[in-house]
Order: sequence, then C-alpha cells, then structure tokens
Amino acid sequence: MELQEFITNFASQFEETDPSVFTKDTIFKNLDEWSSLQALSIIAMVDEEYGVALKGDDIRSANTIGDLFDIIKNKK
Amino acid sequence: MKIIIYKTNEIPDKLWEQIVRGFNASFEGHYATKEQLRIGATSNSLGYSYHAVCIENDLVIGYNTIIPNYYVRNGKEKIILGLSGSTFVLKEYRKDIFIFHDMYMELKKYCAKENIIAFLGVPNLNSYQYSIKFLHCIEVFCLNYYILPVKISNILKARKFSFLNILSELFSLFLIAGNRLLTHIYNPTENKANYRIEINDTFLEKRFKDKRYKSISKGNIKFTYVISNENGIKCAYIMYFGENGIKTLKSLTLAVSHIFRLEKIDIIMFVGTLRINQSILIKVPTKFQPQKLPFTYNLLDFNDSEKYSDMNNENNWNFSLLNLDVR
Repeated sequence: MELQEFITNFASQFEETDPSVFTKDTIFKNLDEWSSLQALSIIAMVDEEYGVALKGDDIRSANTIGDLFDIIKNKK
Repeated sequence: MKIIIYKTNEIPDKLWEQIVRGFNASFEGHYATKEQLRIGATSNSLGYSYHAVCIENDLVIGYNTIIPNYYVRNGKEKIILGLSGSTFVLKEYRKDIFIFHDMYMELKKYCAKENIIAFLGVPNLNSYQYSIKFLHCIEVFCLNYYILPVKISNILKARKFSFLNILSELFSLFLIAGNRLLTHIYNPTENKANYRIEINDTFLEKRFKDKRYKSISKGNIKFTYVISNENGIKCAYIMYFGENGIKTLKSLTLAVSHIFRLEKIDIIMFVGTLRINQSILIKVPTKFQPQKLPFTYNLLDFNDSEKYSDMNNENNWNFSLLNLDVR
C-alpha cells in the first residue's frame, strides 16, 4: 500500500476539487467539497481498494490524508 | 457546540421557534408549524418524545427526535422502542458530518436510562448509508407497497387513454364486491409478529389526533386513512385497519370499500408488512416501488444483542404507516 497511490484514490472521490490540492498534509475536513457523502464514498473506496472497513470514528480521529493512510495501514 | 436532550414538554418556547425555522429551512416543500411538530412528537404511547438539540452560539444548528412507543414482544412482554425522525442539520454546518451522529448517540445514552430497548428507523435515500456506516443501524428488510389502482389512466398520466379508468374502476369494484362477499364466510386474521406496536383505543386516538387523518369506526372494526396528492395523483394511504386491534380481511375490505365509495381518488395504498391472506390489494414489485423504504434497528445496549437477536428476522416485525408516517 503506497501513500501516493492512496492520495490519488482519495482525490478521485472528489469531483470539484483540483487534484493538486491533495497531499499527505491536506486537512480533508476543511475542503469545500467535504460532506457526509464524501466520507461515505471514501469508506467505500477504502473497502474496495484495500479491503479495510473504516468506521465513522476512524474518519473522526484523522485530520489529514496522511493520518487516514496510517489508520488504514494499521488495520491491514 | 453543545447537545441538550429534552422531552417534548421541556423544550422552551424560544427554542421551538428556532427548531421550526431550522426544520423548514432544511425540508423545502415540507413546511411545518410549531403545532404540527408538537403534535407529531406527542401522538404516541407516552405522550411525548425525546429531542436532541445541537446549539452553537445560542443558535439551534441541529435537531433529532426519537418517538417512543410501547411494543408487544412475543405476545406478552411490553417494551419501549423509539423511532428516529424529524432530523435536520443547518446547511452551513453540514461540513461537520458528526453533528447528527453525536445527537443520535446522546439520545441513545439518555433513552437507555429511560428503558428504551432500541431505536427503529426508515432512513431516506440521503441518510441510508450514513445510518448504516456511521450510526451502525442494522437493516432488516424493506417495507412493501400494496395498491389498488382505481384510475389507472390518471396514475400513468395517460389522459388520452381515459377509457382505462373505467376498466380499472370496474376491476376495483369487482375486487371489492368479491372480497365483501368472501368475508361473510372467510375472514382470515394476520399472523401475529413477535414485535408489534401495542394497539388500544387510547393509542389510536393519540396517534391519529392530527386533523388530516380520517378515522372510521364500524362496530369492532376501525380504520384510518389519509388523502394525499402525490405529483398530481390523488392517493389514499391506509394508515391502520383492524378488528379488535387485529388486522383482518374484513377490516381491510371495509376500509378499501369505504375509501372507494366516498373519496375521489386515483389509487389506494398500504405501506408496510401485510401478513394476511388477501386479494384486494396488489403487492408492488420492488423495481416499480416509488422509493426504497429500508427498516432498520439499533439496540441501545450492545449487551442485549443476543436477547434481541430475533429483531434481525423480517418475519418477526409488524411495521407500517401506523408506526411511522414515512410518506
């Protein structure tokens, strides 16, 4: 599981946000497009791509994309 | 940001005004008054509901209600189950996706102390995934639709073929007359489900005190319906029917016959579980249902999982518009 690949997959869930905005340190909850629907699509993407079942609490405890990457890595 | 739990009669008037404003801003096309919200929250077995109000800087930014009702379990045990509804989070605060989650969890904590066993819900398309993934609600089944298409041309909006209305009205008349004759010799009753709302006259009076409901009583038979205009289609929803509190073919036939004779409607509809041998209403195949109505439950105490594992079985539930008006 590569960080860059995860960032690309994460960014692909957003339709209106410029992909260049997404980095390891992006605070995704501050993005204009962020909503519960985005959160749900991230959960679905992580389940499909990495076989990890993210919970609401995992999203809550992560601030940056890097934080979320670490959570998923630890769950694998 | 703080979340306060109130019972309906504890909500201060000033807060009600904000709740009504927030509700109407969030549900465009579903305008509600303070009185309507209050009636909705008090038309149940206990006469009040539980409300989570999320406040930031003296502004109500979120609201969620749990409507409690007595249910009969396995024919003898009386338990309280709560229905989640009337939820909103102001648009400008929806970025914080956990506001609804936090209100729901606070209600779970509070209601567990009030001896409520589980929260039930019929989430709409927008909140379904959220309910499953974030609130950990468990989907049991989807509510079914049963219809009698009285004026089929109006339903299909095919005015050119208005002659079809005559045919479908004749067909309806034939079904009603046939079933009325049949009930003189055959009056099947519903298979009693393990979980059903406790029905008595007091409950029915409270439940249907809103003036839009039409409640009819004929001897031991009672039924309630509501007329609604759904995108130009005049629809009669049967909210409840029963003979001494039990669904029977006779009470269903009488309800359908009454509506057919006295109301100018295009379609008669029943939404929910209908475990009774009947041939007066037609079950709508899933792909033709106007919207998916998933029924979910959420136990307030995880330690109860084994005891209430029978909640996972669709056949154990009796649930319809009587329980929750999801129209």
